[in-house]
Amino acid sequence: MPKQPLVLLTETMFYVLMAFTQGPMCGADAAAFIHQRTGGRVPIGPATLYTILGKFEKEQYITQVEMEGRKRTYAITAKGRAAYEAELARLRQCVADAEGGTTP
Amino acid sequence: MTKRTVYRIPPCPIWDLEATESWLGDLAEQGLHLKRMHSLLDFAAFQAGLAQPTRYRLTADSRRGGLTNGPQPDPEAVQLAQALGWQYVDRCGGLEIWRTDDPAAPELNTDPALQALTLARMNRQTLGQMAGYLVQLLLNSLFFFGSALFWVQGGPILILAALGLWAGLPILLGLAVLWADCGLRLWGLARQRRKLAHGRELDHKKNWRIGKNRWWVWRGTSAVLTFAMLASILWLQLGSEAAYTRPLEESAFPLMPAPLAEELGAEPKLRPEYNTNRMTSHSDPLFTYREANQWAYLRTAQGTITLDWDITYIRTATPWLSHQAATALRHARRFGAFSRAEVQTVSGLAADEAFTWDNGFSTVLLLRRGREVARVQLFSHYADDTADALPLDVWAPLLAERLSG
Repeated sequence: MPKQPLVLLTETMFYVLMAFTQGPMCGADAAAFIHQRTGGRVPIGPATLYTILGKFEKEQYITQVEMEGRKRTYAITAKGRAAYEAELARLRQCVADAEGGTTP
Repeated sequence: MTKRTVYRIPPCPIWDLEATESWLGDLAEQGLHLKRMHSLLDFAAFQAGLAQPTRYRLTADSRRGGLTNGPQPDPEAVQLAQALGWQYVDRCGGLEIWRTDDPAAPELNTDPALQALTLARMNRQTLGQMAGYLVQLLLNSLFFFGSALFWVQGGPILILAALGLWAGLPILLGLAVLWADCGLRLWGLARQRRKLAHGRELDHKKNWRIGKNRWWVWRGTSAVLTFAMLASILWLQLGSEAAYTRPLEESAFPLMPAPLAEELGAEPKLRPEYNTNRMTSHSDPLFTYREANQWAYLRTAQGTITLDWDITYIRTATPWLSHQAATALRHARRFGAFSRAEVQTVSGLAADEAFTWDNGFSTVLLLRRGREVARVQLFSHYADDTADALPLDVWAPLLAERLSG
């Protein structure tokens, strides 16, 4: 089966991208941010995080800006920010639909 | 604390992530902590220690650059795992094994849909492996039996027919086992992937005892057949090395000049720079013989006849196999432009099957008698005439008589 580009972000992916909108950080920092922001509601395991980072880097949603030993620091790209904004708009629409309102 | 190493045979395939994780976790609760997992020899080494609840999890290979990055996982994967309470243990069968004894550590995989994607990558690797086995078989065939038989139409069938049941069967069975093993892995991975793709997590406490005996029987059978395959290949290779070249006069198989000279009352003269025999004998039912582009002169009362011939001789294990070999050779009419040459049945010869056709340069005769098959291509002419000096009905009976069946 041919590899397909990302069409929809999973919840975990969305939160990882959200973390990088805060500024450049490494994977562990992103995990800590998600834990703090969601109060632990969205757990993120190291294998999942590693897979997401690899996928985002391949899709050019993030780019590596620093490497210190085994730790890599990434920053969000314009493409990644656009994907995040698009997903955010989609989620807002979902909420609006659920509440019976119009587009926020 | 004791540092004793204990060995165990896994009761399930490594690609059954649920069963393997559960088994490793159960052993940790008995004080056995995984040190190494050997996929080739199929055993696991444990360090005996304190019984401790431990979670083991398996993930697809994290090396982004593939094998070029060495045997260790990607350093970033290790760093992230350590930061979140996990330790790398070993790699086995395209999977990395991780563990944690920290109950507060998050699960290694928290997004089933993403985990399903990583298992899909393993599927592709397995398909590549299956293709690799096939290429390996083709290369081995080429290496052991030379290009002459392999490249002709029907060549692989011919090779198997020539091999007979003795060596061909273990090789085929061994290949079938390797393929079946890959097929099982594909099936197992697909089952787990479907589960993950539906958003369900894997069952880390699966009862690994179910199917344990079936798995061991399969592993034992596949190990025996794989060993038989390797032994067959080795045996064939030794047989090939034992192939030798010797003078034409000493050949056991009929050569064209001697019987023809006798029949025509002529004096044969060989062209030593051209005449070599190549005889490969692995055992009685495995005998192949080939003379290619042989040259000789026959001095007769009418003049000197130049003989140019090519023989492929095969003795198989059974008449059925020799029939297969003859069929393959009949269809192996090379030289594209002449591949549609009309095949005619030759009657009146001491043979079970006899066919002839013209390949554009010379007359070809294909004979089968019992377990023996001979395909002879003969070009005979006088120095000043390119027409056939010896018609088929002169030399075909001589050749047929030499086949003992």
